[in-house]
Amino acid sequence: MRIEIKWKLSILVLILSIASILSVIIVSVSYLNNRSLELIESKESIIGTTVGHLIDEYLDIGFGIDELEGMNKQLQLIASQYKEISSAYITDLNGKIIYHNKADLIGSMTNLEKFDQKAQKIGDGVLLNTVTLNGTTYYETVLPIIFNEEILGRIRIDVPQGIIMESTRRLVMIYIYVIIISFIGIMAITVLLIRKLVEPLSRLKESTDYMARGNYSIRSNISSDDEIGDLSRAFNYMAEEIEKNHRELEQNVQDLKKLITIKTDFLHTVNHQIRTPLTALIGYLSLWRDKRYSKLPLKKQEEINQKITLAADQLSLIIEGMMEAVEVEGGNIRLKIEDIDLTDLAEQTIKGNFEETLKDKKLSLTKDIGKNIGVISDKKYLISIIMNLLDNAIRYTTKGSVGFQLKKTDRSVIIKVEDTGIGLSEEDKKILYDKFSRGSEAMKISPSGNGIGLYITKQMVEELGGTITASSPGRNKGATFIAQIPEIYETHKHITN
Amino acid sequence: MKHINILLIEDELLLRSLFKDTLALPSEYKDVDFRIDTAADFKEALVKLENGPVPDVIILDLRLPSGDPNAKQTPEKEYGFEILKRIVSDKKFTFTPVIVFTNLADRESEQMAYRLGAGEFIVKSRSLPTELFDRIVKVCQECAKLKVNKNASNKTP
Repeated sequence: MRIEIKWKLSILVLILSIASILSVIIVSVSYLNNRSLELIESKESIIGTTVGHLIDEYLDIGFGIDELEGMNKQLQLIASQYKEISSAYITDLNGKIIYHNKADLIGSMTNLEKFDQKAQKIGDGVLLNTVTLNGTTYYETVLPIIFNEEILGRIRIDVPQGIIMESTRRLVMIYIYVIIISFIGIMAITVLLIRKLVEPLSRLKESTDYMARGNYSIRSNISSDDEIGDLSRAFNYMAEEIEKNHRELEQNVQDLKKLITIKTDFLHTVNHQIRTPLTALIGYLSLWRDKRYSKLPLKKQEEINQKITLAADQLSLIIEGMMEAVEVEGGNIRLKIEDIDLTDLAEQTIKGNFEETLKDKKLSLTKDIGKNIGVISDKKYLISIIMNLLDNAIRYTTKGSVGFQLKKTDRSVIIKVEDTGIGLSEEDKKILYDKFSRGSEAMKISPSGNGIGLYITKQMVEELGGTITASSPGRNKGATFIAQIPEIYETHKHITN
Repeated sequence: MKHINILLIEDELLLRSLFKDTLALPSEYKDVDFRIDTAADFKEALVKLENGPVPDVIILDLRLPSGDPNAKQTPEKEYGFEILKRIVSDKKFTFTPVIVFTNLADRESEQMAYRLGAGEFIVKSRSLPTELFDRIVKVCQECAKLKVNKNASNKTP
């Protein structure tokens, strides 16, 4: 059965406090009882002795024991002086009361022998009785009157037991008040104690629950300089480590997932993209090796040779494309970010690569390059992007012009390539950036192509944190590609698919 | 002179020409004249099946593009299987065997093809064009026997 610490503590405190209070009460009450008793005893003794001396004087002079005039009055005086004394009287050997402070009791017989026998000796012949008369119990001091070595009578002083009880009772009342107050105090202290000790533990437990549910950023704010505080700090340290580990694991998992996707894609690509040119290549090679090959007309032989080369080229193109794709998919590890003069870069790229082809195809190129456009980005990627876009534009345009524009907007640069070529149909737009996909018109115009160019371009643009859009009024009405790239490359801001 | 009319349904240009060029080699089969008709996508295949003459054998590639100018042109095996279904369910082609000629080398595709009624399942990259023709001839011979038998049984009183 579960008993919480607060109950265990409370019960313990309760038992301890009750035990101590009870023992204090018992000890002090019995002590006080004894004290009162002693006091009464001594008082009674003194009084008894005083009366005894008085009687002795009378007896010395020659009075008889029953001739002491004024003894009653003397006893009355004593009784009035000492309020606790209820009876002060003298009995003779037979037990008859000779003198009494209460006049109406003089002459009556007592039967005190039985009590005398049980009495306690407290001094020279002095006895202390506990006497019960008419239902009331008294403490009685008994002093014998001795003259000439003869006991003539006894002096008896009575104090009702009730009086002692009375004072004891008063004391007990005080004690009860003290108990109640200290009890409240103890309760208060216990509650405080519980709060300070037990509550932090409960809070700490809650924190562990949070963590168990996956919230690794939870921390404990208990900072007391004791073992509980130590536990709390240890917990926080542990939580910190767990969070760090978890983040690392998450990161690793993400990376692995990405790699798995790349691998799977790669394998699918191998399967579909490579098999066709490979099949053609193997097939044509088998024809070439067939014994009947030499019987073919030379023209046909030449055709077959060409197709072998074509198949091999296609295969190589696909493989190249696959390699480019994997490299670009692998993430931004290879980006080299630096200060680049994009104006200069664009000019150089265009000059070095396209002038020949443009001349051959009789296409005109219009350049609109903004001056002194600087960016902080990756040079290789930018070159590739510009080249891919221009390559596409030129490849799919048979007549007219290609326009290249480079300008700056407030936080990015725009690379815009327009052409007057075969344009994009709706069908084309759907598969435009897909790996290895080519539009039907595109395949007619340029049969050798692996369809990877725009896929790579898009990956690169997005890796740099930018976006690419394509538009076209329709088939044979030209196309426009716009790549928008941030002026300053920021890590983690690229779009990952 | 025996004629074997082949309908080749294949989307890759290079493979279609490989097929045709194989025929340029002097035939190993005496007295057999192979004639080839081709279809490059789903739509074209349907047209040829519908309107064209009944071929002696159909060579079917599974991954075909739709041929619909408004739709995506990525080749899907669904089109190939659909053509197969239609051929098998059409009475016209009762005596026309279908040789599935594809690069999908997985078990499921093979089982699916046979279940739908294909006569043969050949993986492109594992076979040579000359082998394919051997198969074509064999399959046609079997089918011819079947045809003859069937016709013969029809005539029995």
